[in-house]
Amino acid sequence: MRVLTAIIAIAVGVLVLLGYFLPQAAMLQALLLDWAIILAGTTALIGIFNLVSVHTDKIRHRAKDSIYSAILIMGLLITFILGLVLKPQNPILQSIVLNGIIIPIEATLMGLLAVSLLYAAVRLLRRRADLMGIVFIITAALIFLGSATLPFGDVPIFGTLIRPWVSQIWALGGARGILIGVALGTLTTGLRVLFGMDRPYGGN
Amino acid sequence: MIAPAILVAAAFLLGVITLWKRRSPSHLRDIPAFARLVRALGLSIEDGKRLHISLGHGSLLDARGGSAFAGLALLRTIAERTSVSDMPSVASSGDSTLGLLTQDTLQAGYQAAGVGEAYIHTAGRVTGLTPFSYAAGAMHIAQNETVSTNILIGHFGPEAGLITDASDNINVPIVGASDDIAGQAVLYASAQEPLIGEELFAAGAYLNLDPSHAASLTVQDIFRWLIILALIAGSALKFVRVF
Amino acid sequence: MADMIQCPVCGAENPLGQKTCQRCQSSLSNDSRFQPGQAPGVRDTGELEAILPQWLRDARESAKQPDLGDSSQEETPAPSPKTSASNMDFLAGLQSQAGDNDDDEVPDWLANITGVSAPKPKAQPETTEPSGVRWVETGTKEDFQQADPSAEEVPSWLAGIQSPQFGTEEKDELTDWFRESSGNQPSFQPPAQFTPANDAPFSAPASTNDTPDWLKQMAADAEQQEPETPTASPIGASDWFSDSSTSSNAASQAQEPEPFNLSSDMPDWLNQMSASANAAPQAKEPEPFNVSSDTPDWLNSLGGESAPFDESVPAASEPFDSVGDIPSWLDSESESSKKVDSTLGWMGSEAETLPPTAQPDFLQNDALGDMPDWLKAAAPQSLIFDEPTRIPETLKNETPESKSSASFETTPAFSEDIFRNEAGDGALFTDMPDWLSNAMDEPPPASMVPEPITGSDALSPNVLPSWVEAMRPSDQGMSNIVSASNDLTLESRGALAGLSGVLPLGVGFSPTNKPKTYSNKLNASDEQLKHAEILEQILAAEAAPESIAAEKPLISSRVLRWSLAFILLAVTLGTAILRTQIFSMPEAKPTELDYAVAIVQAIPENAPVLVAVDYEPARAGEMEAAAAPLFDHMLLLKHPRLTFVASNESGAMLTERFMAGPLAFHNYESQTTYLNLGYLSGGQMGVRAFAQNPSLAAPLDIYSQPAWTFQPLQGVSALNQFAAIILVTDNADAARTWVEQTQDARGVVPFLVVSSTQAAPMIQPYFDSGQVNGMVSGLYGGALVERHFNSGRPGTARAYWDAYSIGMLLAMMFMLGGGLINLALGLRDRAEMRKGN
Repeated sequence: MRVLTAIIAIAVGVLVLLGYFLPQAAMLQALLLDWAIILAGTTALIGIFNLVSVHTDKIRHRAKDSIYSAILIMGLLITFILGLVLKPQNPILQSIVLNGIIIPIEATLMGLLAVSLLYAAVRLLRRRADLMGIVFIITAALIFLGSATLPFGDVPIFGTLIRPWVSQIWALGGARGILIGVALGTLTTGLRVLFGMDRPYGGN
Repeated sequence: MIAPAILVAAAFLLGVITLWKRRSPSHLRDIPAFARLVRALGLSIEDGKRLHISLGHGSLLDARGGSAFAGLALLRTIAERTSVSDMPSVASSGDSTLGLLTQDTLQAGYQAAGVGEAYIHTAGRVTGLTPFSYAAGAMHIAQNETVSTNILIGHFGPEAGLITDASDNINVPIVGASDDIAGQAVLYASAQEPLIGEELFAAGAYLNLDPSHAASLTVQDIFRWLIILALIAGSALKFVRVF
Repeated sequence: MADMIQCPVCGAENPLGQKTCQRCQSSLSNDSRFQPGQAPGVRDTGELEAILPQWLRDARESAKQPDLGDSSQEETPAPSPKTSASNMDFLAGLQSQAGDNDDDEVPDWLANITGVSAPKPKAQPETTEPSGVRWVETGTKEDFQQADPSAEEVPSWLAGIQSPQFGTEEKDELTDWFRESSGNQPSFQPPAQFTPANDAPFSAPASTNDTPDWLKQMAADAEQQEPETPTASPIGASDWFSDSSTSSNAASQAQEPEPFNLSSDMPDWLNQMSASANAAPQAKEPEPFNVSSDTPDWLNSLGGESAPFDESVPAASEPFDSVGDIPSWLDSESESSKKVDSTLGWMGSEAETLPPTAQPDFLQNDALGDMPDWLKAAAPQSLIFDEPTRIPETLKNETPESKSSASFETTPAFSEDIFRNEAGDGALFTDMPDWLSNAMDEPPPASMVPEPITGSDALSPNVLPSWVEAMRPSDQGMSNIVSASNDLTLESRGALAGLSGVLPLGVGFSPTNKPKTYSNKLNASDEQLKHAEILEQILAAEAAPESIAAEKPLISSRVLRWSLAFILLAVTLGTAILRTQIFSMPEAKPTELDYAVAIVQAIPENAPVLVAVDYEPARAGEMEAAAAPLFDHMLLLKHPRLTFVASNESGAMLTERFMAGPLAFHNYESQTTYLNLGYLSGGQMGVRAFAQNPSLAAPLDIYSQPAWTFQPLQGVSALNQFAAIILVTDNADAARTWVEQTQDARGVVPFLVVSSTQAAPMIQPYFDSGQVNGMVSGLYGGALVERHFNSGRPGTARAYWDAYSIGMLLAMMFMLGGGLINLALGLRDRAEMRKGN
């Protein structure tokens, strides 16, 4: 079984890859991609089932904070039923689920994230009192200063000169280098999976 | 023609160097994050605590799948080593496809350790299908499930700051790596041992000592130098207005 | 040589008809010797343990207490001799509980008594040292070298007393005998302190004031008889030994000793001894009692004071053969058994047999006067006893010092229950062992009296054989045993050296010297010591755990966290609620923004425009504020037909929110002026599929209606038929996906991006490379469009701008100020860590 799954995975990978370079394999590539899209949609349901099973187990075993698991299960079921009945674009549903629950919660998390990141930045030099930490703090301060304005207009030099210079040259150059490294890592990782060296499937 | 050439060259180098690495294992430079990771594996068992491995919300169907595969390779090693612990490791993910492979990888690790019957399917969890919902679920695990170390490896955006903040509240160390620039910036500021850039993909080589992982690192280094030379040469030619 | 017979003991040649050796007076009869086959086997007499004498129980208790063990034994554990098959039954019972290696090791209690656990090769057959008395085995084999091989197998003192007719007796009657004798002699009642408690088996009287009456009487008798026995004490013998002996002599003169009553329940070891004695030809006729200088005086005095128990005990066995191999106390037993019919008459018979002033010469001149006879017999007699040495007078009166802290606080053999009289005084010796009774029947012949030991081979005073020295326990090992009594005398000489409380002591007796201490320092050179030190360091380094640098965790500061959160929330919320417009809108317009506005303005009227939505609900506020000015401007100018498609799960709902929110006043209606195709699953592949065939990838709208038949998509079947493509995203990866996957399909259709501030730097290169034609980034870009191109409409950016600006400035100040403080703290921590290391 493990060999079979490896053969299937390697064969599909090679065919999709060839579809990018060989027009003859494009049709087969499109077919395989369609299957992958369908499977991706199906796995979304499986992911939801996993979420439900984890929290159901918590409720069953009366684990710590299992009340929140119960709230999660109830919210999931209510939203699912309302979505089936009222359709997603229903103003009532949208008002309740999106504007009343999802956006406030995620916006709150975003606000918490802002505080957390500020706290982490303040404490950074306590944890890592080195040159890179100092550069990190100074760069962040320059971007903050260049993004804001004063009552009488942009912060001189920072908003018009330094901020674009830092963000689009230094930061972007570094980010590009990092992304190239990430791309190379993705390339070699994909090749290992394609060659069957890494087989995170079929129980290997 | 550049893309197929790069692919063929990378595949050739990977195969050859893998065979070479099997005969002469390579020496890897010290990365503090991996040293802490190895130490955390032992300490978690001794402390009677578990490891929490967050694999992010990178989908396997796009370019973020590379970091997801790297995280799965690390998870495989961790699962095998900590499967005999009283508190087995738990893995969380923010993508449904990745969640399936997470469970499969955990089960494989248990089977490799000879304790396949000890695997429970809830050790691999999908905590949310959006970045923030995923982070919220992972925060709960990090804070309430007797975690000794949080390992974040995969695709994370700024929402990684929520997980690191939750760990920091209970003084649990974090080892973090992401293929996202914003995620890396957040992890650099908030994690004890961040991994920068392609170091994310070196986890398997450092923990698994597999020749293919070490070979992939060598291939990356080769291509990195080629790209550096190409960038310098291109800039010079552009500067002299050759093209 | 055929008419000569060799002495089994000394090896001397004797005439064939001679019954005893002319040289050592040992029995020459073969049947009197100890035969290996006659040795009784080891018996498990565990059931008899209940009747064991108290002192034996105590000794066993001490063996179970590791604290009482000798430190010298712990330091140099010697292989214990193998248990002899001729062990006494009551000792066999002890061995049954001694441990797993009963057959190989000396029991701890016995090792404690002897002080030394002498090695004995396992390969040696049991018959080589069949003695049941372990302390004989503690000597080295060299110490027992005999000319006759048979003498090596059987100690001579046992060889001469073994009797086949008693060899079959296995029942332990000694205990009963002791008990009865105890009962018959009230004067022998030991003090209560001598009877150990359950948990303190070796407890002793706290002081000499607790000396029992019988001991006091013994002392008194000794004082009376002392002038009469000035030479009775051999060299090295303690005065108490002599006193008791003289006391017993005096007593025995006054009373006619009667032979012991032979008991059929005698222990095996005693049977063997007595049988051997009976089998000796010399034992057939009464022999005069041979007073041995090794006989403790207290035994003699017992005999002397046994007048109340002078009941006659009929002799039923052969007279005791008092040869030199037999311990003198056994000799005295046999003699006293003839004359004293009371308890322990054999002790008292010593005095009667030999007048105090007429002790044998060999006793007077015995260089081994501090040794029991049985040890003399075991020792190479040809060397030791050939030339006896006269005892210096100065050594005769040595009195052993009494030590309160005895090295081994053995309960006296004559404990209370031992001497408890169960059958009355008259029945005391009715069960007397036969060998004792026989020994009392006939006095040893004059020929049996050993010759005085003279010559240079005799040991000088206070010089003991090495094997005897080796038996001595060291004071250090014994010092942890605290005695509660001063009556327990630490024996300083003889085979009992180092032991205390083994024998009841007379008043005022105490040892005079300390056991020799041996240095445990190695004789090694400096270089060897240096090498050894290096080796120790290496071993210690290997065994030492690897030190892991202590990591000082950075403890979370809740105060700082809450302070930051409170200040930020208070300032930004207050500013937003108050809707202040203090801070000016940004002025500097980036190039990509100008391009984006220009493209919007270039769209044909009522042209189809594709809008891809890919942002999280968390950033809905920022994205709506960034996109609303540009869309408002476009809707106002060109009234395009909008088609929305989402590449994330929440995009479809956020689209509806966007159209019903900032753009609500444009009155765009779904399926009429705009169309929502919903979520495009599959991520990058879904985008690619949509780019290749939009109608196939997204055939329905969110109402599950055929999307491509509605007005907004009229005339559109491919991606390149849209007038423009606008991506609203907060994710650089999503921007890259849309840029890369739709590049071929869209052709020359302009591609605009409305991004979050966070994603803008990563999308900027696509604009620089021409893959993106225009970009509006974040609230900053929305504010610019709103101010410069849309006359301040819809005002969303302006509403947030003051809170945004003041929040940024606050964050910068916190970061710089807090960073400096924490930098100083971090440097201090590192300095402390360096000091700690």
